[in-house]
Amino acid sequence: MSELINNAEKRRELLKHLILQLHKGEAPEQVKTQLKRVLGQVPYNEVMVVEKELIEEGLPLTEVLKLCDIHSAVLKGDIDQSGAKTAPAGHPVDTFLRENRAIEWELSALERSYEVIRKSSDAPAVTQAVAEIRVNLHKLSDIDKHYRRKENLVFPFLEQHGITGPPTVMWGKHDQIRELLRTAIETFEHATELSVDEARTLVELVFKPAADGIADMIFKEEQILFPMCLDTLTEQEWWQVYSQSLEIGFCLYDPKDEWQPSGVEVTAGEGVSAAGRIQLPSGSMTPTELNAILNTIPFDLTFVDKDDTVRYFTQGRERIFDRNRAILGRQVQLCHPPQSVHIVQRILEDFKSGRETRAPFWINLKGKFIHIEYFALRDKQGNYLGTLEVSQDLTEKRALSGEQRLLSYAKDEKEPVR
Amino acid sequence: MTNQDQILTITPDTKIGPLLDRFPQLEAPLMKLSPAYAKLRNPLLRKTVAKVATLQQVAKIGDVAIGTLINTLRGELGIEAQWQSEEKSDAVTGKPGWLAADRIAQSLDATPLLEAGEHPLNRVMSDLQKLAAGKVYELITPFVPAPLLDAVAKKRFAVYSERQSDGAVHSYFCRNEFEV
Repeated sequence: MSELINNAEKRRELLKHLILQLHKGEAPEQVKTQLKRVLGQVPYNEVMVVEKELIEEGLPLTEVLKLCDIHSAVLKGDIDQSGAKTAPAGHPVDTFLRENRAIEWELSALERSYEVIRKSSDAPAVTQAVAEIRVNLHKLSDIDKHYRRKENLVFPFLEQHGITGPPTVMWGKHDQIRELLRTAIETFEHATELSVDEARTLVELVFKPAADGIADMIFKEEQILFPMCLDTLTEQEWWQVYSQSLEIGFCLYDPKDEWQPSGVEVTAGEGVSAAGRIQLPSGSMTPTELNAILNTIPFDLTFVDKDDTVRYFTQGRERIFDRNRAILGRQVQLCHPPQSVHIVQRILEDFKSGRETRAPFWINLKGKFIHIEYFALRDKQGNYLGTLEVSQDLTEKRALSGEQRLLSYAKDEKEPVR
Repeated sequence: MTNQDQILTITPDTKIGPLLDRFPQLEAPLMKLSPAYAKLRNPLLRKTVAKVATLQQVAKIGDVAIGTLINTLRGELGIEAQWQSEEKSDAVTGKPGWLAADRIAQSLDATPLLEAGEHPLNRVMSDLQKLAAGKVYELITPFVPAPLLDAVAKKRFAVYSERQSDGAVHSYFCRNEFEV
């Protein structure tokens, strides 16, 4: 894949593109930086070819001479190439690059299947290759998130810095790739089986153009867009891109590293987004959805904060121990009968001091087997946040035996399905 | 729809599926051009390939010259190969007053570029930037390059295009500032 992308012709095209941008007066400082970087990577004979082509294509000689000046400065080592910025682990650009590596993996798998279809007349082999293409294309449809993060989070900042050309052109290309991918995936909705001839036609006119568009976009991102963005966006702006990325999601890759911007007041990666969604590190939901989730999980929760104040309880349909909203804001010690307060106090002290993290109990109550467990809640630094009480009726679960592998809806007598 | 609007509906970038949906009468003459086009009758490929394949790609799979393909389809719809950015033309020759053989400063035959699937637009625009006032630029193509003519006309150039006896289309551009 990389030899496909990093060939001499592509480099020359890029160099030409940058010089023409400079000629058009588009964001000269940013373009100059990119130009110097690319010139540092392109062998001298290739630069000569580009210069010759540009003169033939009618670029004023003065512009080409400017390029020669920059180029000789690069060759003399007058320009510090080490100043090219790289993205630290977890930074939005680092995530984009890692996604590209995952995308390339799918592209090379596709290329192998294309070869089988081009060369083999063996129907079962072609059928197998088509099935693999289908799987790879479905995975690649994830690319929409990669493009949406560029379009909705990065491009607005570039535009604010006066860089409007590359975002507009790229957005158009994204849409072309999306259409080709959509059409490619729809193929499998129209047909369960493809003949060898159909498969070959689809490879040449739909599947391969989609893959080529994606590969080309990776090249443009890594050679032009990302270096330009790293030179342009401020740390504060990157932090905004980073904070909002989760709302759109990631493409074939789950970022492992957390990124902390330098010199920026950061808030935790949690909070309420502009769209009113509660943003957590692993996803987001509206308050209504969160309420439905908490009231549906098959156990009861009660949360007491670090100051021993009762803050929240779930309202499932069948609470084991009744809770009413009058207890909210009350000290937890006041919610227990005097004979058990010392147990509560002991647990809280052991949790706060870090000596313990869990305290399980199980009891028989009116013929039911009830499990109650207290958990210490802590943040990443280990600071105590409060205590969570989890109670569940395990009577039915304990009585289960054998297996239930076939679909059989649990009958709920309380709420008949209408 | 004017002739110039119509001509813009059939260019190398036009997608074949939507074109055939809009003008079903183009299917028969298209099939005559190459046996490879029988593929487009296949319902599955019609729903997928035709939706995204441009005439440029279609020319390639049928091994048909892009000029032949475009001219055949345009001819079928009765679209004239005449293109003029202004109404003023000589009553005798039908050509605009600024067009004279001795004013042609530069000529480009873009046929090989177009057949290779490339756009001559950037090259032409770059040449026109250097065109002196009163001088004429000539572009030779196998079909009327409608989107290019449209783009050049927007840059304040007078445009005149005609098909000559050898079948090639000759387009002429001249700066609007130079009025005869």
